[in-house]
Amino acid sequence: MVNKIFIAMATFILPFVFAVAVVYGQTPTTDNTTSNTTNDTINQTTNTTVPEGAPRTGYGYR
Amino acid sequence: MKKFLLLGAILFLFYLTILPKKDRRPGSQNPPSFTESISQAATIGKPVRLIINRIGVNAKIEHVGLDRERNMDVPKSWDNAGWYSLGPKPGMPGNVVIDGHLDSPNGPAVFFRLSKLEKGDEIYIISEDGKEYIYTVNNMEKYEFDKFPLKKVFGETNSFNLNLITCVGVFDRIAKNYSHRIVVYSSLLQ
Repeated sequence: MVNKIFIAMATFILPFVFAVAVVYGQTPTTDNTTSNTTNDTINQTTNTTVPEGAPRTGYGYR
Repeated sequence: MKKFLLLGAILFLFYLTILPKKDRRPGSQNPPSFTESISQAATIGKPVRLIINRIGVNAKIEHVGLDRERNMDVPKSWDNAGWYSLGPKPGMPGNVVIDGHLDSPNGPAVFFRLSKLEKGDEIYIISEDGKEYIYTVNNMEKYEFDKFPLKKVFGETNSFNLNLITCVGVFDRIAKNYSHRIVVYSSLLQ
């Protein structure tokens, strides 16, 4: 009788413990996704226009 | 016994479906969202003053774009520096570019002594919101005007760079242009 009670409890509780371990216990495999996304997002905000030539920053006094 | 194992397996799957999913992405505690990043970029102030103690520069910063030939434009005042406003602001990732005149009709201009900068020298930029950005000089390169590395100086990068440009070399009186440009490459310290 006692054995049956133990088995019945284990039947309900152990699956729950395993489920919690599976859902919350996984370790991340990569950290690239977030950082790349962040960098891409920041880059999108810069949106640089590259000029076609260098500035003319001299008068010729020297 | 088999009935209990089967029931346990069914309960395991059931629990898996009802448990709230945890966000396990690294950094997911405080990742900037797209809108947060946009607003962060928008809140960085535009530069208003350039200070380089090593060469005695303390100049107002004008905001410049492109000239009629689609070259980077230059500041209207000989004593001011020109921030390229079609690129990133100081404090943002990318190549922040500032130019300045070498000389003027009256003599030396704001970047007359730019070539005297050395590795490790500090460059201060003050933004309109009062924040101070400190860059340190990495190196200096000299280029012919027609072979200026536009993508290297202006192109997109994930680094936090500041590139200062001015004229050097021989002045062509007909073309009204110096033969070379120097670029002082620096990176954000703080």
